[in-house]
Amino acid sequence: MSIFNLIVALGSFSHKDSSNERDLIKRIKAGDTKALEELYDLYKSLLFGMIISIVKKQEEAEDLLQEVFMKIWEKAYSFDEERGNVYSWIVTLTRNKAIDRIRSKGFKTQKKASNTVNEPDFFLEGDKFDPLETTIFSDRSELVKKALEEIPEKQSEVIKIAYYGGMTQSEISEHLDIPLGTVKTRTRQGLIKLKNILEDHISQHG
Amino acid sequence: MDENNNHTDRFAELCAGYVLNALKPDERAEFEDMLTSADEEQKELYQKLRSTSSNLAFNTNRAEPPKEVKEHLLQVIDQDMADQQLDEDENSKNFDPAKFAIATSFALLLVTLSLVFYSFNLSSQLQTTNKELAQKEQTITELEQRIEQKNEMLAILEARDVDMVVMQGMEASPQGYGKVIWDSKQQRALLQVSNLPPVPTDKEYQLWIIKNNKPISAGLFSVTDPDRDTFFKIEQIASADEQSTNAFAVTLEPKGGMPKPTGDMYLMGNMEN
Repeated sequence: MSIFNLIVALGSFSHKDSSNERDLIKRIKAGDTKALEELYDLYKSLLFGMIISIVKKQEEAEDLLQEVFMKIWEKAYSFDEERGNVYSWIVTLTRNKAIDRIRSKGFKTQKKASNTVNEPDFFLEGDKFDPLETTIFSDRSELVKKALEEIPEKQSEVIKIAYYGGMTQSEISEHLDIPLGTVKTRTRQGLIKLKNILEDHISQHG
Repeated sequence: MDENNNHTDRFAELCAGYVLNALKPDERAEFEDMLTSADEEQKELYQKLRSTSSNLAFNTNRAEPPKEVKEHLLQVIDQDMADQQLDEDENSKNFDPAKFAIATSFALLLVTLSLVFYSFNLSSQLQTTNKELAQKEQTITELEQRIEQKNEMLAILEARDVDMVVMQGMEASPQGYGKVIWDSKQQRALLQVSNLPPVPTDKEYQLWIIKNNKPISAGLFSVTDPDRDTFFKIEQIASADEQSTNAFAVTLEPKGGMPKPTGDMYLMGNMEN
């Protein structure tokens, strides 16, 4: 199983695509809707969780998730699966789409939802997940969670707000009522520490 | 050195914000600009921070989307595929063989008509040319005949012994004149006339030998074009001889000639001896 292999072989710092993911992209390029369905099943909960944490609205999130997969369907031809990383592509695509949405004018005029990071308005998790998928994601999730705990809270805080909340550094500065320069410094220091921890972990376990 | 450090710090700072997509548009542009001239170390930092950032996604609280999202997605994609198929069909419709055949037929018809018209033109041109050629041939034949006549006439003049009688215009044509040059040995003569009026279609000029005061027909000739019809060859003029011939005369007679002169006399000349 692709994701399983990936987690087992955390030999590389970055997520390495399994041959399965690359095959899925190849099949999608060839117009195989079954492949898109498989990819959807593999990524749906991760991506939907990401989107919800950023847009915080169920309908908006559902709409965005569909848009993301439409985009994957349409843009797969331009993706070089031999060179690019499927996971990074999909995750970045999803996150940027969600961020674009909340930064759009129409969205901003709507009443701002709760800014509480990591606490979406609703949370659906449970036995609906594929057990293996859940395990794999949990392992990886655990690793990142631990890494975030290892770095100073003030640094992890700005990173979490930026990544999971989709806020700009200026918005974070306003939100936390701290100078913009401080936000920038904490982000830089925190992310570099996070990188080092993940690298260390991988060198120990790889 | 400080400047270098500042630059490196600035790069790392923007880089961290960039991979989190947390920069303002102007900062994003600034970083993308820096990235194009980044050194290897900076590029490596960017790659690693980007990986770190995408790993953060694993810590997202997962959420199960309603199954309707998948159903709707697949519906939209099926529709998309169907539309594409439709587009392809429409495209192939554009290459409808029947339409293509009609267009081709029309083009061929045009070409054929052009060719027919062209060949028609060519053929009428050919006809005209053939006609002209025939006319030229006729002209050549006429000229050849004329040359032959002239040659025959010259042959008369070339004879060793020729006699000549000069004829003067009579009442009917005071301006007219003519000559008869004859070769008595070969029994032929050459008649030259000038200023004789053209003859009506039912008449001809008749040359007479006045022998022993009796006119004897020596031949018929017509003048239709006074400028051209000036020389005539008279065959079998055996009866003319120096001794008995007194004169030559030309009268206008009914076509075919008469046994004796009946019409007006146009030319007349006496033998000198």
